[in-house]
Amino acid sequence: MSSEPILKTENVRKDFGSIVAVDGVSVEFYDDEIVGIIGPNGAGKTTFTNLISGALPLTDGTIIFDGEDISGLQKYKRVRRGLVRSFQIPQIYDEMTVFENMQASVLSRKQENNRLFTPTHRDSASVSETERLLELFNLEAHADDHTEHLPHGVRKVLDVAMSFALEPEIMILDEPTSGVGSREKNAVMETITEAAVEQQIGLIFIEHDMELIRDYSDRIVALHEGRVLADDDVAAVMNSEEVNQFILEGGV
Amino acid sequence: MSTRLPTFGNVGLAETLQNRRLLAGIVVFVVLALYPAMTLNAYHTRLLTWIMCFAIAAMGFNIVLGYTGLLSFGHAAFFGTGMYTVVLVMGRVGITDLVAVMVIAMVVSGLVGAIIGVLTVKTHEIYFALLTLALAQLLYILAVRDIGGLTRGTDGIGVTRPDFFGIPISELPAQIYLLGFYYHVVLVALAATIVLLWFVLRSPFGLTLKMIRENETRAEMTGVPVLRYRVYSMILSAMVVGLGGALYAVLIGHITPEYLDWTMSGEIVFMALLGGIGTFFGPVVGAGGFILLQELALSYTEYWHFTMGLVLFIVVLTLRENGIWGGAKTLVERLNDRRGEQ
Repeated sequence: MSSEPILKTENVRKDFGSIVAVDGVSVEFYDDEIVGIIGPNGAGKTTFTNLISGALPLTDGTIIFDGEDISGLQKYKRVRRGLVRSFQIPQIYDEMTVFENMQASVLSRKQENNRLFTPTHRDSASVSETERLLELFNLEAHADDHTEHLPHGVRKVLDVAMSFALEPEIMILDEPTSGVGSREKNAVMETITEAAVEQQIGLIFIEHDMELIRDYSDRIVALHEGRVLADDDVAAVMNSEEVNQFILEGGV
Repeated sequence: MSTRLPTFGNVGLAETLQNRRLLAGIVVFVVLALYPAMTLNAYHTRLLTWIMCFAIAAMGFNIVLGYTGLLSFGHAAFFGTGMYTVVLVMGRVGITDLVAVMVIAMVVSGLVGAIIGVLTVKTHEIYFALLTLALAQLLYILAVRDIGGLTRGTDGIGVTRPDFFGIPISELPAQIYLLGFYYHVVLVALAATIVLLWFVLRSPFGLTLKMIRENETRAEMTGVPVLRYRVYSMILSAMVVGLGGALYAVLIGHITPEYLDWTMSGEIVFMALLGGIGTFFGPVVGAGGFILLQELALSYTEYWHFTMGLVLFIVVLTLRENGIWGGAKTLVERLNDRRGEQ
């Protein structure tokens, strides 16, 4: 494991009025591990990831990324530094083809959004990189399809692939297999984790499916009522009495 | 996949001529360029100049609606700014060269676009439409009340004829000036706008605007400063619309505040919708369709507003964002397919 955490939260807190959704969470993440986040509904998992990505402002606490305080940094600037997320409900560009969707990510990573006059299909650097990425995620057959007609599983993979195209240091996945048929779940997770290991991207994933958590995590963070219940390797967390009491038996 | 990468450097003339769309564009341009000399029809030439000014404006408008996905009801502000800039720059500042005046009009319109853009950038949909409408009406009131003594209120101001690179075109007889010279200036401006926007909207910049239209959340989480790009698109849009207004000001020769009014914004929206906001050439076709329809309806009935409304209703209901132009394209494709099957 790397010596320095790539991402660190210190006493992160989020209030919605009188409700405390995230209540002082301090966790460290490294760029060479896969961390599963578990917890019953309302435990603050999604809120916690929204705080990290900047979708919600912090009430209190600090977020350190790559040694720097990013607590007040704008969303797009966090992305540019290498802190990237994917979405539970695929967020892709509907009236565009799969190819364009992917190329949009590639061009944005290179921060070439302000380039005028060169038509995108003639920009050989981003075109060949887009083709390579589509192949890596087995999407090349759909390259010219408009995304609105794609099956849900393909949209889900595209959503994750578009985040990978940003070459992040660490990536947050909000239920990467939700809505994916049970037989394809493992294939989707295989594709994601292989790509992450290959490109040395740290993964944080929220998941309800305990099988997937057990199979793919290096470490588990269990949240309960906005607090960290357990933060340890898979076996330790799965065998913890508290985790069993609050989460596993709760029928998540 | 290799078809995605046509080499750009060594495209020969023969290959260019094989590109049917480009060839069609050149043919249309040549026909339009020769039209006044061939027909000597003053009415038609004036009508075409009028249409082309609005075609530029409608294309500019569609950058914001069709590409960035924001419905502005305040584009009269940019059209009117372009017009008033022409008058003020020529009358008050004393710059009379046509090209210089047009460039200044675009810059001033772009500035107004930047200001309105910054003020509206955080709003969406109906709030954006209302806020742009309100800000444009503010300019309208300023012009009507003649604040600062610049606009002469509802009486309006006359536009003097500009010079052209030191050539005293203002001394040409009216027929030759408007039908020969000025018609071609507007035609070249329209062609330049089309070529420029064709490339800009296909570039990474254009793709970024589409990303914002399709999914703002995703664009932001892809590292795009969404608000900044929305302002950029407003500036670009305002500049093009301002050019349309500036060209139109010289054509009609007299400016009143009504060109800043919300009905003007409505007409620009109408043109874009009629031609098809989801297509590149739709606004050009829409401008032509709108103005021709208006002329036609006016000559038959005093209820021309009703006729126009009915046509727009039918077009939007049946063809949606494709408009007349998109509908025509689909029709041609289907006919070609059928011919291919036989």
